[in-house]
Amino acid sequence: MKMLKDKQSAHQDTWRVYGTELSSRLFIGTAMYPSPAVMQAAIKASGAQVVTLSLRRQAPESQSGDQFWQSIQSMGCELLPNTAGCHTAKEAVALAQMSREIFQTDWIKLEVIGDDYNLQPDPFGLLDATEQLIKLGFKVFPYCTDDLVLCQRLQDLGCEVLMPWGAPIGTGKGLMNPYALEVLRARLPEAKLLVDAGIGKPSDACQAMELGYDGILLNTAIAQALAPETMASAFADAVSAGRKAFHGGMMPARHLAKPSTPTLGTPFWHEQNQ
Amino acid sequence: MIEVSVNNQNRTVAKAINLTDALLGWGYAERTAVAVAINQVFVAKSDYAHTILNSGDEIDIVQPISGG
Repeated sequence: MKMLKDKQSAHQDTWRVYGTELSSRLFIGTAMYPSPAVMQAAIKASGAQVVTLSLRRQAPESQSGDQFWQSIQSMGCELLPNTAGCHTAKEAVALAQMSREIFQTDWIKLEVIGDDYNLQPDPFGLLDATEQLIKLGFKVFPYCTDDLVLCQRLQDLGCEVLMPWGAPIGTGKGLMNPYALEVLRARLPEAKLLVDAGIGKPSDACQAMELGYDGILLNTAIAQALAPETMASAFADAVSAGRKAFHGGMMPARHLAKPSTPTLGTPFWHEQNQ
Repeated sequence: MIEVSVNNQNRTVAKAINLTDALLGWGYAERTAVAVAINQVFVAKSDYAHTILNSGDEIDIVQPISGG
């Protein structure tokens, strides 16, 4: 618990997501950890206040769903259920409604997958589902590509938050198109932008935050690390560092070297050295 | 009797059975953290008692699980 507080205190700039104030800018998934205990330790070490989870078919005699649900509830985090695995707007809308009933939240991480090879979001199905869900009172967190026009349309429909991918889910390739992400930040200054998916290293998260992104959502990079708790802490530091760097105002890169030590009075200097 | 699909498994149930009774028969009565859709349309808990199953219905019953 002390570590959680320490991590949270490192993020002084609180922000609001659909009316909920958060101090952490790192959202993390609950899947693929070696054990429930490791998952809980990693969530605490990350300082994350928002965790993602899902719904699946399970046999009535299976206790795993109940056990998972109880362990998540005990952590007191905000819940962000997803619609992972849905390929149509109809499926996603139904699963979102099922999630709202069980998890008692109108937040939904909306995934409508268009291609199974790279799990690329289907922009058309995503817009369709977003429109329906907003009419049903949901607060939609759309998992989307970094397409500017798609993101504009999602914002027009009422999405306060947009979650473009950095790279395909689970690849850990980092930010494959930083230019597109920069354009989104520049063109959608009012949107809460989180990079969701593809983050592999803390430096990837830091890079996104340096671009002015509001947060990061990831799962695999922490859950599949050799030491998830340690990696969670590293990601918390990276997100914080990137955010501070963005606020600090980074120097523009330049082509030519320029000495940082004053050249005036350089010893051993002679005119013929030039 | 009618045939329905429950989580992609064929099941036989009494004709005109409602969802409350069907869930009881399938062993979900004690489960509070479940949600149901029929033919990809969400059914709220408050509607279980007056939702009558029809032959060929595809019923999805889900529970919480980890996710990314």
